[in-house]
Parts: sequence; C-alpha cells; structure tokens
Amino acid sequence: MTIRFNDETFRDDYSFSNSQRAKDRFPFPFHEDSYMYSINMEQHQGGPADSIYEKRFDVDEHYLAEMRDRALVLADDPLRCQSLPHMALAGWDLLELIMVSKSEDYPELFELHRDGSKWHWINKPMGIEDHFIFMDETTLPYAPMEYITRQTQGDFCVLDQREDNLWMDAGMVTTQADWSLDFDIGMNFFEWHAPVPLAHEKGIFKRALKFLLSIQQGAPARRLNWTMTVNPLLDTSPENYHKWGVQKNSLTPENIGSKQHLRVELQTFFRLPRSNGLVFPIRCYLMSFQDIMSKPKWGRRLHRVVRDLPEELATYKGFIDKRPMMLDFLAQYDDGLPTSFGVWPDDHSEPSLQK
Amino acid sequence: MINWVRRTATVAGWPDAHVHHEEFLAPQPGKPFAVRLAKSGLSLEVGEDESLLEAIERLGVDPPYLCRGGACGQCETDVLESDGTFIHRDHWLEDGEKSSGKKIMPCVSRFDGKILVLDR
Ligand code: HEM
Ligand code: FES
Repeated sequence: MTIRFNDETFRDDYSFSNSQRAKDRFPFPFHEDSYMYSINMEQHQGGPADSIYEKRFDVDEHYLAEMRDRALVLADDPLRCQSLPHMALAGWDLLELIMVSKSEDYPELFELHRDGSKWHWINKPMGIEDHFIFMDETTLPYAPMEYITRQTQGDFCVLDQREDNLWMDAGMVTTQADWSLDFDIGMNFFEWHAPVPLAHEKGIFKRALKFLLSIQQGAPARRLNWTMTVNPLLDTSPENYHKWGVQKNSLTPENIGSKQHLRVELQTFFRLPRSNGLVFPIRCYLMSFQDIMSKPKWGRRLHRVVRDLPEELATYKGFIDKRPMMLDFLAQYDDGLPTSFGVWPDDHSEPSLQK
Repeated sequence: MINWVRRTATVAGWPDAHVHHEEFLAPQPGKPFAVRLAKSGLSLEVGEDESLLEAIERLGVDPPYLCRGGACGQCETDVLESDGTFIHRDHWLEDGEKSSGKKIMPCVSRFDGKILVLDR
C-alpha cells in the first residue's frame, strides 16, 4: 500500500480532509447503539488487513501534516514535551520500540540499520537520515523521546511503574482532548483520572490499572476513547482553550455537518524493556459528521448514541450545549431501522437510508 | 517463584521499584484439570500451558472475551457444580464472588479438584 500524504492543515484554514480510504478505515468507536465507560481493553496483536489495528504504529495520509502541526505547537510551547530526569532510559526504550516497529512494518518508508550501538535511521517521508550511538544523547539532535515522537503520529505518555502504580513522568502531548501534560506531570494513575465522571465508582480505574501493571513486553494492549471537536483541530489543549473553545460557538445548523468532528483515540499500551516503564500512545483520528453519514449504519448509530449519552459524559466531553443542534442534524440520518452488532460499517449488508 | 524472589529481595533491602516482575498476560501455567461444559455438552482437559479460555476455544466453542487478562469482565462464567479449589487470578470478581464458588474468569483462572461444571 503506497500512501499519498495530504498537504493539509489542522488550524487557520483547516484544509484537513479524509480520503475514501481514510473514511473506510476510520475507527468508529460504537459497537452498539449506546455508550457507557467500560474496561474496553483487548490485546494489540494486529487486526483486519488495512485497518488501523494492523500495525503496531499506524502511519496514514495525515502523517506529514500532523508532524508539521506538532512542530508548530512545540515552537509555541516547549512544555508540551517533558521528561523527568529518571525517564531518560525509558526514552531510549521508546525510540527503539518505534524504530524497530516502523522499519519492520513499513520497510518502504523507514529503515533501521544497527551495528552494535551504532544506529542508522532513515525516515523517507520526512526526509530524515541520522547516524547516532544508541544510549548517547549527544549524538542526536533532541533527547530520544522527543526525537522519535517528532516523527510519530499521536501523543505519548511515558509512565514510570513503581509502588504498584503508574506515574506520568514523561510525555509528548500536542494533540490532546483538553488535558495538560504540564498539569499532570508527576501524577499517578488515579490522580490524573480524577476529573473523569462515573468511571471511578464503577471500579473501572482500579481494575484497569491492575491490568496495565501486568502488561508484558511483546504483548501490547489497546482500547478506543472518543470525544467531539469543532473544526479538525489536533491541539485542543487547556493552554489554548481561549483559541478553540470559542470556535464551538461558530456551529450553525447549516455548517454543523462539515465543522463538527467525531474525534477517536486509538490508545495502546506497550511495556518498555529496560526501564520497565509503560508507554501509552494516543493516536487521534478525526471524521466530520457529514463524512460519517456516508455510512448508513454509522449514521443511524451515532444519532442514537449522542441522544442517549448520560448527561455527565456529554458535559465532561464538552458538547452538552451543542447536543440539541447535533441531534437535529443527526436525526435526519436515523430511519429507526435496526443496526448490526459491531463497529464495522458493513457497507454491503446495511440498507441505505429509508427516508 | 516470583513471590519468593520479591520477598527475598525485600528482605535483602532492595527498593521495590528495582525489582521488576511481570505477571504474565499470556496464560500462567498450572496443573491440568478437567471441565465439563453443560450447554455445549462437552468435556475437556485443560493442559498445563493453556488457559481455560483457550481450552474452551480449542473445542470450537466461541465464548465471549475481550482483554484476556482478567480485567474487563467479558469472559465471566457461571459455575454450576464444583468439588475442589478455585485458583482465582482475575481483577474483576469481588472477593465475595470469588469465595462463593459460583463464578470463574476463564481467561486467567484455574481449578484444582475433581469436578468443575460450567454454564457454557
Ligand atoms: C497509562 C495509561 C493511561 C493514561 C496515561 C491515561 C490518561 C488519561 C488522561 C490524561 C485523561 C484525561 C483526564 C482529564 O480530564 O484531565 C484520561 C481520560 C480517561 N481515561 Fe485514561 N489513561 C490511561 C489509561 C486508561 C485506561 C486503561 C482506561 C480504561 C479502561 C482509561 C479510561 C479513561 C476514561 C474513561 C477517560 C475519560 C475519557 C472521555 O470521556 O473522553 N484510561 N485518561
Ligand atoms: S477476557 Fe477480560 S476478564 Fe477475561
């Protein structure tokens, strides 16, 4: 599969768009007509051909544009990338994990040649080629975590594991859904999850943490999370809320189909071999309401999920005020027919809209 | 074994964070045991190196699962009859459920005894 990288933006003129392939492989997150938090974790060992689950780190048509956007965010706010002093080893672990995975999974795009500690990395799409000494930071233009995450889509939290807990002690976070690395740095699993409604009471975090603590090397796991974003913005950070928060008020019944995006995060969990840390990549996929409506099953279902979502979740995800306008739009695509189980669009078996 | 290493290390004064251990997501081995699946009308022996969930799948039964690590709750299975000891290794069941002998999480837990009949 040769990928044609889009020339597009996630700011200003928002020229971001999804090709037919990107629409077909969008990770629609609802396997049934309603949604509630659950321990929705499974093993990350591949998936259907050409799906976003197939490779360890999915590279798609948005790669170069996302990396340009990350560089702009970092130039404005260097605190989006932080690493406490004891996390240097985990940074090398992460660099190795990504270089090995990408060069094996996308040999036509990435190459890694290793001769002892002398490493040679080639990133063809970005036009990067570096020779460096593994574990010698002075031989790279950035510290290892920053170096490799400037070349990899998605945010990264690098967690230290101690006292039977996970600690957010490093990260590269420029495409987040309204949370801040600078605020969360040094916090543990329960502390950074404190703002999430309902999930603590349901025992979700207690059980999820036990699962994460036992993830072993070579056996990564994954889950999906989702929220709503007005305009195809990657950087919806608290730091820049004054810039993007007001854009929610630009929604009108006429433009909501193209402006309102469902934002889905593919979250994966990998054990790091030397540091025994855990890395948590958060990969963001955006799709406009109007593109989602091109799949009849997703159209029917999105209406029902948004309509019936508990108020606490709609508030936490930041769209409670716009829910009525969303529902007016979405209702046009729901004819009341039943939907098939599972997340896949089932384009060939689901009936087209009956109204 | 792992517990022994950790205890010894603690006694020897090593800080916990420097003693890495992994609770394997892949099935932990254990003594083989026999199971009857009431709904499917099948009997099977769970081998040393496979989980109860894998053994059930091996017979062509398609039980629910998601995480395969004892956390998500999807594989929760009712026990209809048992004579023996449960080796619960999951993070899902409440303590009361574990001691009741009425539930098991086949992705990680095992059994040691004569009779185990599941509602599968
Ligand atoms: C170590 C890995 C993880 C990290 C670093 C992480 C980080 C975060 C952060 C920073 C937030 C935003 C909190 C805020 O509002 O400030 C969040 C939200 C959340 N997390 Fe995690 N998380 C991790 C693993 C998990 C797991 C395993 C689960 C559940 C099975 C989970 C469930 C959730 C849920 C339900 C939310 C609310 C999301 C929403 O409604 O949009 N997280 N997480
Ligand atoms: S499959 Fe998740 S608890 Fe067994």
